[in-house]
Amino acid sequence: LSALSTPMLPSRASSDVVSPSPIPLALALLAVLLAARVAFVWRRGRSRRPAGDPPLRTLVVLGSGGHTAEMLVLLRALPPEAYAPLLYTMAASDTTSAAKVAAFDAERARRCGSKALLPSEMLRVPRSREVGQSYVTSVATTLRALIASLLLVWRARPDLLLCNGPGTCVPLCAAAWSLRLAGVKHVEVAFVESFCRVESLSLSGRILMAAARLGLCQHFLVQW
Amino acid sequence: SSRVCFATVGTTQFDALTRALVSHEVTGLLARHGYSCLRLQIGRGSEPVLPSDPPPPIPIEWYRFKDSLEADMRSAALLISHAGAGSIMEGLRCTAPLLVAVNDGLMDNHQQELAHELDRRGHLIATTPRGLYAALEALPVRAASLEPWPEGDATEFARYLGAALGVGAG
Repeated sequence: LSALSTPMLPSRASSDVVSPSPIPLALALLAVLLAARVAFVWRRGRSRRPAGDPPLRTLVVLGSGGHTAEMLVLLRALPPEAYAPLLYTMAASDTTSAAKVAAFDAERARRCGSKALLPSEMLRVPRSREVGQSYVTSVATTLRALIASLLLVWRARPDLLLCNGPGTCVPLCAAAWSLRLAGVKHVEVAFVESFCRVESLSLSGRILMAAARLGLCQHFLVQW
Repeated sequence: SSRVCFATVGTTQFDALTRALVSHEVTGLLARHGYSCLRLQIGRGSEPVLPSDPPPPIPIEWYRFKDSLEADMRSAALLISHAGAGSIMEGLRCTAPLLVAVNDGLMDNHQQELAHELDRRGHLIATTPRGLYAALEALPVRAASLEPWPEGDATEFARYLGAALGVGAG
C-alpha cells in the first residue's frame, strides 16, 4: 500500500532520443531551400545579365491609341535577335492595336531575313476598367484583370517586361513582381513614360515609380 | 488638284471640334483659302449635323474609323487633329501643316502639355475648338515657319536597355 502513495512518473526519456518528430526538420529544410532559391533569384538581378542570356523572352504591354504607336517606335530600335520571342499583350477590348502590331511584326521578321526568329505571340487580358464604367463594378473587373494577368505572366514566364503606361500594365507588372517574390523567376521590368507626359507622370508612371523605389521596376525612363 | 483638309479625333469622341469644323464660319474660311474638301474622321463622336441652308461651300465627307489613316493624312493639304499623342506623332510625320485642337472639355487634360510644348517649339499650331477659326485665319502666315519633326529615334533607348541587360544594342 505504501508503494502506491508515490505518483508514478511516465518514463519517456528513451523515446525522445530515438525518434524526433520529422515535421519541424522538414519545415526547416524547406525554409532553407526557399531562402536559397530567393537569394539566387535576388542575386540574379545584380548580375551582368539580369534578364538572362539573349534572346530574351519579352512581354510587351500595348494600350489603346498612342501607347501602341509609341511602343512600336521603341521596339523598332531593339535588335530582333536579342529580344525574342515578343509576346504582345493587349486588352481584350482593344481592336486597333492588333492590326498595327501584326504589320510591325511582319516587317520585323522581314528585316531578319533568313535568320529564324522565335515566333511572336498575341496575348489578351481583360481591362481593369473601361472608360465610364461605374466604380462599383470596377472592383470586380479589376480583380478579374489581376487574376488574368497573374495567369498570363505565370504561364508566359518572360525574361523582360516592357511597358509604357496603359492601364493594363499595372496588373501585369504586379504579376511579374509576384514571379520574383515567389523566387520562381527573375523578370526585368522596364517602364518608359509616354511621350505625351511632358510635365507630370501618368498614374501608371507614379505606381511604377513607387515600385522602382522598392527595386521591383528596374528601369524607369522618361522622354522629356 | 484637290486640297483636302483632313481632321482626325483618333479613337475619342470630340463633338466640339466636329461642330466647329462643319460650321459656316470655318467651312467658308476653308473655301476661301482654297481647300476643295473637308474630310472628317469622327471616331466615337456623334454624327456631324451638316448645315443645309445654305449648304457648305465645299463638300464634307466623314467616317468613323479606318484600319489606317495614313493615306488620308499623307494626301491632305492641311491636318487638324485632337491632342492625342499618337495622332500628333502621326500628323508630324506628314508634310502638311498640323493644327492640334485641345479638348478643353476634358477633366484631366495632360494632353495639352504635349500640344503646347510642340507649338512652343514650332512644330505645330495648338488651339481649341473655340480658337479654331482664328488659328485657321493665322495659318498661312504661321505655316511657313513650322519646323518638321525629326523621325522618332529610339536608339538611345535600345543602347540603354542593351547595356543594362548585357545583350548589346544590335
